[in-house]
Amino acid sequence: MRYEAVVEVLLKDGVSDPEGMTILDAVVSLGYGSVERVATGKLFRLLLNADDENAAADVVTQIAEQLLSNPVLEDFRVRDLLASASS
Amino acid sequence: MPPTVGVVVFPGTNCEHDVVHALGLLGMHAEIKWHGDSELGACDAVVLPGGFAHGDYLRPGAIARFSNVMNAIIEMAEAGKPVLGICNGFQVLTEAKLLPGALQKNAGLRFICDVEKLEVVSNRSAASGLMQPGEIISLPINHFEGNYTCDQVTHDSLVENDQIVFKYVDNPNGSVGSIAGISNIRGNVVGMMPHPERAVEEIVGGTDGRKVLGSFIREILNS
Repeated sequence: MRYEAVVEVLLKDGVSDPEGMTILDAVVSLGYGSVERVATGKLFRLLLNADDENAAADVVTQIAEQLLSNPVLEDFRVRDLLASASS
Repeated sequence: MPPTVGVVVFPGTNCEHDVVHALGLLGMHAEIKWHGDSELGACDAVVLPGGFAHGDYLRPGAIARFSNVMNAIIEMAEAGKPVLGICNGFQVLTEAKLLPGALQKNAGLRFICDVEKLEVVSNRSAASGLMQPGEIISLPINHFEGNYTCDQVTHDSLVENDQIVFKYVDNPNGSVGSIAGISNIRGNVVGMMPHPERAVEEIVGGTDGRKVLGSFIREILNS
């Protein structure tokens, strides 16, 4: 089966996010004073072949742990793991 | 065969010739090594110079960690040979887990190119043996992602094991504990954001880099 997974990588709570703070300033300047926090991160979309959803999730999790995120700075979450028809 | 320092070049590295030049001024033979080679040859020490290895894609150092040459560097580190990562090289060493912590974007989000005062904290490392703890030196920094970050437990162990080599006097980038450079526990692997190779001649504004590279050379000759 072919699967599509989206991995979200965000800075850990407590790690300073100067880019997020700068964007927050701009958001507030834009008139949206109700926004309290902006966190920046990255999204990765992986297409892979695996026997089943669990096997796909295992592989994606390993890749996220070993490469896509740096555990000192970032947390990751595998989301939207779906059987995929797209190429 | 005279002692030789391998200076590793990844695609995007840009300080390798400065390092070879600076080491040469101090009488040390250095050779440029390509990251795709799985062996370093007859090297007595290795420098990972600054630049933007693999375009800093993903995170600085994240892709370089998987280069063929890294296994040879890890072997040298484990054998106790001197290994020095400067700027991007420091980022590579943290990504390769040869040094703890990580470097993230500067607080203030500015690329900083300036001369900074550094306090020598430990002279036990392979890049600080010729200096005294408390000594103040000046070196150029040139980075966007030099904000040293680690958790409290890691910082405590760095202090306890005398692994902090250099601290900024006026922390320019938000680094935890004002850290500018650290070593591994053994002291043979050192990573630092400032550029000693850019401060070896008066004509470029200072010579304190000679103390750092001179310490590194002394370590090579003694090991």
